[in-house]
Amino acid sequence: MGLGVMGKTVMRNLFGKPATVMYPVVKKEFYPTTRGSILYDESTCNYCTLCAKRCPSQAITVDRAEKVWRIDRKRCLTCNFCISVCNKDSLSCVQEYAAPVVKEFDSWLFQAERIAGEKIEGLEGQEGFSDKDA
Amino acid sequence: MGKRTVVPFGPQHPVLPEPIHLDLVLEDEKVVEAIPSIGFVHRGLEKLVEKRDYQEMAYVSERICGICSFVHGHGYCETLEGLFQVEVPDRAKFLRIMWGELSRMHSHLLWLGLMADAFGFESLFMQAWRLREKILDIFEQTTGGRIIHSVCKVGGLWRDVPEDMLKKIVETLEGMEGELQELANVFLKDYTVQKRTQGLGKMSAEEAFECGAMGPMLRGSGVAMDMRGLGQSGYEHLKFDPVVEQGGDCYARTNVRIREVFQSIDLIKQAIGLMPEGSIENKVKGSPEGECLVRMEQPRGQVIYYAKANGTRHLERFRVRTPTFANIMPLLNMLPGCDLADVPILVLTIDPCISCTER
Amino acid sequence: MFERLETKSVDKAGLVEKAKELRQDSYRLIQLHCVKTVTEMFLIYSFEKMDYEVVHYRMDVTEGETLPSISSVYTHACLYENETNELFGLNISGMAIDFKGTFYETAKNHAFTDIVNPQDKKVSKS
Repeated sequence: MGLGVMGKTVMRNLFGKPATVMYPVVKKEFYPTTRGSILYDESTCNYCTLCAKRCPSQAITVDRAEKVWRIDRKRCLTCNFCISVCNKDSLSCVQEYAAPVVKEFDSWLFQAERIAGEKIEGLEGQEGFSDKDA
Repeated sequence: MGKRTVVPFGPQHPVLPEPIHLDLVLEDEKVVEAIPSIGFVHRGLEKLVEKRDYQEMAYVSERICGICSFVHGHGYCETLEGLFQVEVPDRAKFLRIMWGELSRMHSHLLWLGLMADAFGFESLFMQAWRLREKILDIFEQTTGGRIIHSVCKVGGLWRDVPEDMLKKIVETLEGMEGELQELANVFLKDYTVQKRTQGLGKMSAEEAFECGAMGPMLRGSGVAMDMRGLGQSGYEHLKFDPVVEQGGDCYARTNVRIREVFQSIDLIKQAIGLMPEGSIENKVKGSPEGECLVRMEQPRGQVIYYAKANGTRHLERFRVRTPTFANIMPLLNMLPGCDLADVPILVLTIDPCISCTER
Repeated sequence: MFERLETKSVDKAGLVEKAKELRQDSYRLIQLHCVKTVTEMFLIYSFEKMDYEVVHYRMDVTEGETLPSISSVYTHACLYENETNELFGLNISGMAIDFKGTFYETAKNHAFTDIVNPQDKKVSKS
């Protein structure tokens, strides 16, 4: 096998950009359609409990009487089924993933560390995305 | 007669993508018999029909396997559409074909990388997976996820793909063809690769057909069977022939899979060229009833889906028979007579996807 | 769109004969599985030819019955029969390779035999 067989690939790899990204120093750029996590808008929700009934992994619980909406981020698959059944458009999908947790937490509330020390826009005060460190 | 020893192969082994266990009975470095043992990834997914209704079962069905996840979701939806006797609009059919062929490409590139790793040729492994990243990026831009797509539903699709994205897909694939050709040249013309694959695991056409081989195992031995030729789910509008090689050994199967990657690029370009405007969904009402059995072509071979429903929202039985389950018998027929060092190549040549097999 | 399933019927006594006949006709076995519902239990055998033609046979069984094996005709049937034996509790005599219940390592034996009907009582979803 001479140099000709893999020569072009070797030259391209030597003088081109690497295929990997230096995460976590460099944050990965997500695409507009990436399914990262579910965003909840409290102002338009009417607590009809449809999203809780349809969730395939029972990640959402809704308490109609006390007007509380909770999601368990560890069970959520971001399949977006809840977004399609919601009549009031209170749910939407954002590209940012919930960051990895390093401690054992109570399953309804867990605090997430930031990726590369930055705040995730629009998610302050959401259940599961708190400003405080654990 | 030499001394017999029993060597356990797996479930943890560097070449295996998923755990399978074989007890190899050796006589002085040649394999005499092989006894399989599976069941390490059995999750009992078929029993979940009792708890999840038919719309949520689509998400369970996708998660049977990570490599062939789109095909499982697609096949489940086709089976339920057969139960409801509802026809999917044409645009949805062509989009499903596009994603199915992209899925086939990424699965074959993954397999090529693992095959190179089995020889010890690590840089070729990395090159194949580097090309595969471009396809995973296309998946993320169109469906939102790299591996689990969640895009098929009973009656159509959840998402549409805009026109400029379709043009970008065609450009990316045309750019990939040159690099794919270089990769194929190394696989098929390199001296070491040829020495390790030629003449290994030879099966004639009759043997392969009778013992139940599927997919590239059959087509590498000269039998031209491809479930896309049934003319269902949109494939009747595309022009293609099954990729067939006559060698019957590991080299012929590698050749079949490489040529199928090029064939998939051609099929995607045809499908995008023929894509009509229109809706992507035909709304489905009520509950399913009856029985339906569907045969489709996965990257690894022929997959069979069976569903039975009785008029309520829950199915009574859902069954998936994957091609790797059917390919275990040809593996047990090929192993006697080979050397111990050839066993990883033979196990990889059936393209084992054990999490599909055991659900 | 695929059509609904049509099956022909076969019984325990004529099974091996039928398999031999199909093999002469150059069919091969592609799948074999068991369906158990609240009201009935049956097996489905599927055979295929090289020109994509397929036939399905249905055999009604009861729980705990002993069936003949067709691995004398088609060797690879033993894998499907071991799975049916292990998950549904049907005894099959004369398998080519008999794993004796160790094919899948499940916590419960014959795991698919207890049917939970979702309509009967309030079944928790999780």
